[in-house]
Amino acid sequence: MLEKVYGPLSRAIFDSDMTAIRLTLSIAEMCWGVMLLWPGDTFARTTYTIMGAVTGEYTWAAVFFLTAIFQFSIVVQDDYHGKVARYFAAWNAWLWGFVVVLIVLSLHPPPAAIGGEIALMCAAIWIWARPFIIAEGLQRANR
Amino acid sequence: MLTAEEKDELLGSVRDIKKRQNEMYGELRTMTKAFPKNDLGDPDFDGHRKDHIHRREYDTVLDEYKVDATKKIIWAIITLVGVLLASGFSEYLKRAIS
Repeated sequence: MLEKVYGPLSRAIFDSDMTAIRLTLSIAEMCWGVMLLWPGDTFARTTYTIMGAVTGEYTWAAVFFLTAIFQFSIVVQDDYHGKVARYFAAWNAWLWGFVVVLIVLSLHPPPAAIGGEIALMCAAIWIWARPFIIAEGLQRANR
Repeated sequence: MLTAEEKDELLGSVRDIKKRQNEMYGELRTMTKAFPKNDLGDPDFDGHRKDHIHRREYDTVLDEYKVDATKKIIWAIITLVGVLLASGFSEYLKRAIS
């Protein structure tokens, strides 16, 4: 049964345009920034215990805001394969991965509400990893 | 023997054929401009054909590689979800036993 799935799924994940994913990441990062700046102690909740130990709310807000701006500017400039875009993809994958791990480690059982964050982490990792995987494929095809 | 009228008709047909032939040569010259030149300076039809074959093989290898990578990704996800479910289930069992 899976044999029928491989072809279409391969085209979906390798041959698709990732602009929408980048825009979604940018919106999510902007929302994180806005909510962290909201009056009140967000990090008082158990969910953010480890994130709070790493650094303060405002620093995290600034990180998310800057990341959102960078993400959006990459989409606006239509430059997804330049050096800056590639380094940014690595940073973005690391940021989402780090945040998800910190939240998961702060709570037990794992919070269902971060399903969206886990999906965004997967998307960010894929944006970073896909060019490397395709480059390997191109090398094999050239042999 | 042909009559003068028949000769004129025949000559007209020959002129038409010649005109059409010139047009075809012109079209052929235009088409051959689309091909790169080989080492003899002629349009490289054979190189063009080989390039198509090479591209088709290249695409096939790349597609196979992508499908192979997709398989690995799917199995990695299935394994990860399985491990997570198993660890949740083992916790559930621990609670049920204690």
